[in-house]
Amino acid sequence: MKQIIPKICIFFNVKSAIVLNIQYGIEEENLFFNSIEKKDENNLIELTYRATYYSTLGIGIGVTKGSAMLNLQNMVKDKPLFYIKQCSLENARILGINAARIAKRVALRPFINETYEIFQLCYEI
Amino acid sequence: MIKYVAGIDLGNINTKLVLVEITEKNVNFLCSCSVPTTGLKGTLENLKGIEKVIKKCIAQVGLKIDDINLILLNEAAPVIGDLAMETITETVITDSILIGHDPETPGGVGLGTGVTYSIKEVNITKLNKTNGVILIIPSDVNFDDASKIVNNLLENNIDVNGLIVQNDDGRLISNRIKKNIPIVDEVKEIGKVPLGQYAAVEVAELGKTIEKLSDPYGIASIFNLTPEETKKIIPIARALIGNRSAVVIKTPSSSIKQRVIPVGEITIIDKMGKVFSIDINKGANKIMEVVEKVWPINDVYGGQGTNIGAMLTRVKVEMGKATNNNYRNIKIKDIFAVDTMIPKKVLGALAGEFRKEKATAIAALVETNKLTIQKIAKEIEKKFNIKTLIQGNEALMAGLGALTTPGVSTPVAVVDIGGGSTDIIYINNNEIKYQNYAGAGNLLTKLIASELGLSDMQLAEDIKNYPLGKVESFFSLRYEKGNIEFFKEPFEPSLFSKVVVLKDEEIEPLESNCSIDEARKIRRELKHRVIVKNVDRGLKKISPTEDIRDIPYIVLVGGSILDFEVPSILSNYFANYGVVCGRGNILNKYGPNYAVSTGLIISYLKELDHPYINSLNREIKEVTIL
Repeated sequence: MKQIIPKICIFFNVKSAIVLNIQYGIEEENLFFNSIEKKDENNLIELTYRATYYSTLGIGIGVTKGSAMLNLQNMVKDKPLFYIKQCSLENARILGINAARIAKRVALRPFINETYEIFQLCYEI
Repeated sequence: MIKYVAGIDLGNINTKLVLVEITEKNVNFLCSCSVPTTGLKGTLENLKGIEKVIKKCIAQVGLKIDDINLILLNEAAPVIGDLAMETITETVITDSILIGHDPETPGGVGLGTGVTYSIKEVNITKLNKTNGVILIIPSDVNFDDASKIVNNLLENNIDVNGLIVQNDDGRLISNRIKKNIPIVDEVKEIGKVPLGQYAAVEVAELGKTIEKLSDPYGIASIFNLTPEETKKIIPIARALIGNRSAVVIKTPSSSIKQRVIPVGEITIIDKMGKVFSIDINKGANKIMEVVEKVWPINDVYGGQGTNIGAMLTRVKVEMGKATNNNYRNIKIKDIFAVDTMIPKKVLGALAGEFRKEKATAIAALVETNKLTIQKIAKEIEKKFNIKTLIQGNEALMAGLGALTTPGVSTPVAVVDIGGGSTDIIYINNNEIKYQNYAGAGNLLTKLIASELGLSDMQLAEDIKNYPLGKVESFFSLRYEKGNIEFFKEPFEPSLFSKVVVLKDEEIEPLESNCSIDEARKIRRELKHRVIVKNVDRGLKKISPTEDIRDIPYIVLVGGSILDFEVPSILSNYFANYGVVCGRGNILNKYGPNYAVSTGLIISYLKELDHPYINSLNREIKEVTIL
């Protein structure tokens, strides 16, 4: 029988420091992850949603150039939980931490203020 | 002829109205409304609230303001309550000695000891190889570089035994270094950690708590302390109990102590002019013992420069202004003290730690003369051109209203718990007496806020009045009783995994990170310590035999009885005495907060000798209200 390891999945189309920092965030929270390069996919929503299905935890993160998104398998595809249009490295780390905390069911860490408005907006799309 | 009469109850928090239609043979209760009271109760500022409640009510039943023939006001017992809190202990750390904070993700496991060095200044050749090393890593050194330096030191046979890190990097560093050492991270004030001193770092396994640093002998064996020194470190060990990680650093002059702040005395004067003083440090029980002994009270003073002193003067000044009196003529008639714990920031702490400190909260109550309510009545007449009468005393009206609850008989005690005061009315045939006591809903709210460490009073008020829950996932919510409910729409991320207050239509997260059980326990215990204790002392005083067993019926009315659990807590408590105690069900129709406004109407009907009175409880007919 194949063993299923609980993993968060990161799909990215360009390898960048954002991806690294998301990984650090997940690692700091002591969770496992897969990060896979998907050069063919440029649509962030699509990328993220595919990641949620690849993840054994149903938690997927998509990263395109400069932006990052987090969604869950049981949520609506076009309404991601978090979308950071211009993702700073600090917020990338927090995104990783929050992805892990969703799996751990621990209260989330607030993002650094400057981009917060963008979040709210996207949450309501 | 049809007559419309409005009974208006001016309360400390809400202004409540009951509107009736009176015909020759019958009385029709049309509606009841409640709006927040504007301004201090018993002042002309109340008019705005009165206007609002009238308009709200007539809009509901489709009448015009001119249709109302008569307004009945309660003789708003000019009673106001206020409260203050006095912290009586504080914890002071001099010359930083411990970091007892609990980062969420420390790294490594175990206990490490050694001398503290900054990672920036560490020099392999100069290090003393016999002693271990504890490295301090400030935020400008990233975890990658830090791990490389640590690995380099380990390769050179330097015993790096523990790390103290400013960033949230504990686990990341731990995964990158070759040796398992304890790492405490998220230490905000890392600059204050003394260098070149002997220190111990301990991190427990997940799910466990530290063992060595939370034990006085554990600390003594690490630092080679003498028996005298061991005695002194008890507060440190105590502060660290229950943590998953901790750092203790020994510096030559370091100390931690819990000291008692002198907060002064409270002076109570009895009816004979005898003076009793009591030290607030002795706690609420001692204060209440004196209050019971001295009762009835003539006045109370607080020490100059203390919070309690300032509060007592403030209440007097406020009441003086409201009634056009010199504040020196205003007397405090009752106080109610409660012991509490307040989370306070530890002075000199490195990671922003909080300790719970002892405090005493005191609520006070003043009474003055009854002039202002007449002014309000005149203003209403002028403004709306409606005849306005002062129908009677608030407490008596509450008693009359409460008697309309089905199943009640005399002798009965009516307990009216409002925001500022708890009023107890005893009715037995023609014997009616009442007494106001300090300490009610507002005190409870303030104590909930302070014990849970909340700054938002509205949130504390909501915690008092509504049950708690926990958002367990984006689609599920667990109630405080343990049942779980699933939803189709996801919760907002800001609510995820938070303890929340379940208001009627919205849910609100708690800022503090205490668990749902803890918050529930604090809330229920405070209700016992404030409401039950206060009602208990009031009933004992008013009972003809000073025994609660001799009051067969207790009816609970007032705004605080709308609370979802206070009536059941009180019912349960008084069931031990074999007493029937329950929420007032005014006219089998209105909630317990409309006792006074309904009482006003009933009292008016009794004066008219209206036939409707015959349809009510026999007791109502028999009671004479002076």
